[in-house]
Amino acid sequence: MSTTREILRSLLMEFNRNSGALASALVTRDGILISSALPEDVDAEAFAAMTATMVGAAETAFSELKAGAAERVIVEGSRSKIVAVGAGENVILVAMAPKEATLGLILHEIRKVSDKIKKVLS
Amino acid sequence: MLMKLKTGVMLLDDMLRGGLETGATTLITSKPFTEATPLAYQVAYRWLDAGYPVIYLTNNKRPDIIMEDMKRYGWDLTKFKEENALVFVDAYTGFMGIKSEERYAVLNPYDLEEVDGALLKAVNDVGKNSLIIIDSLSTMLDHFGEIVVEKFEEWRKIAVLNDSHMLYIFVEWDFEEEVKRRLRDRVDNIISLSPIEKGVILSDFFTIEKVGGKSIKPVSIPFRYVKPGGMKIYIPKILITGPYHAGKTTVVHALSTRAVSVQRGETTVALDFGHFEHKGFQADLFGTIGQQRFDPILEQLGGETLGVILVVDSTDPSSFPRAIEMLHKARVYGLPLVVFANKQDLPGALPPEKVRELMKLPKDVPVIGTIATKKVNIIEGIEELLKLVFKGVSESDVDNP
Repeated sequence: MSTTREILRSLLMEFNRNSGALASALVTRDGILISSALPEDVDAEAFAAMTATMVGAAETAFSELKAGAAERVIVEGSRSKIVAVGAGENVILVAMAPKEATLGLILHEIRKVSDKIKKVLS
Repeated sequence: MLMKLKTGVMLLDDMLRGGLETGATTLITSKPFTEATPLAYQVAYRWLDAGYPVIYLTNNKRPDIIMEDMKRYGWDLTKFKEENALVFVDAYTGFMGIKSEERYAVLNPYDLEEVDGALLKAVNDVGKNSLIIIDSLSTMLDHFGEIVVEKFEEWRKIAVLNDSHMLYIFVEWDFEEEVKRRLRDRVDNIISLSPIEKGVILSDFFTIEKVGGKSIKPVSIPFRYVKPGGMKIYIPKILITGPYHAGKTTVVHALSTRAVSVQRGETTVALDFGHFEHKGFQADLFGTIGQQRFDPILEQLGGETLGVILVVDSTDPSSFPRAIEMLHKARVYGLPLVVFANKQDLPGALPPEKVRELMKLPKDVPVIGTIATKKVNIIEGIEELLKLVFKGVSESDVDNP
């Protein structure tokens, strides 16, 4: 017997292993942390709130430009990159990977794990 | 002599009418994966700190592991153990065929009488006013079956005759409903811990089901365990909103032990976020952006809010309609609300009652005069909000005796 929380966390850890991501988290669109596989020194709640704001801002910018729907937010940094993608109606999956990580693999793994997450949360 | 000791968890103590009483028994029942032991550690620490002894019977972990675990939550009980104020009844090490180093070791933990004997000896040696923790009742049921339920009456007598408090830890595996019912019937207090899934939010809640032998209307309070610190009541979102330049960012930072802001110059452009901690409460604060052009983000961040602080500039009544509009846009109108009539130190600041009048606020919405830059009335203000969020939890939902 396992709780939703345990299942989500193990899905995120599996995702980190498969994709080469260093960290990942599930966040509601309104900024509350659902589950995370982050290093211990990361302020998970603050990271969650900022991720949701980032995605919200991107979506708003897109709709203001009438440029269609924003599908994902990718931020490339000096040492790492952050990828945030919707995983279900009210949920965002966000992953942080080293700069060298292959974006294609990360996106592929995100799609795979998103399907599983949707099932768990539905 | 009867006495009551607080658990140290706000609201929990209120709901328990002041804490755990000697001569009584408490069942902490939890769902698998929601831990009950940290709460027991917390109570043990309070008991020892107040100068009273604790007897800890364990049948599923080694005593030294428990000591380590307690330390991780911030309670180093080594001193108490050395002084024999904390004693372990070790009914676990024997399972491994190893000799326990504890004074009250059970050589054959498969023998209930032997477990019982070691416990009684410890109780007699330690004396009155002790807290007796049974960790865990579920493991006992696994080993000995339903006869444990019969033992309850004897242990209850120990609690009464010895002016002690018995605290049972019970993890609800697949036990028969009848067994669970009989356990519940035979204790004075029941604290239940369980995860609740509300939409996609997963949070742990505690509920008091029974106090002083009487069932009460259960109210669920969200909590989380913190290392160090133990059980804290946790509100995942308090929204801090208000018109441009009212002082929201200052409020978030004044309230937070740690805060992050996305700012350009003096203006917030994404979100202020802070962790608030006060008197056993923790909350995450979401400070929104004031300018109208950012309203889509305000609309997005309003979800799942449990309480709202509306910050207004008391010197600028022209911004008041905008303040009310923001509550509607964030879809938080009707939630527990406290208004901070901020900038009270500036010339021309309207007094809180005038702000209430101009904003047409209902009587039950507290309007508090604040000076965020000097932290004046900020903590008092959020305390008012917490009272509203947990309104009715502490007294009125407990049946009158």
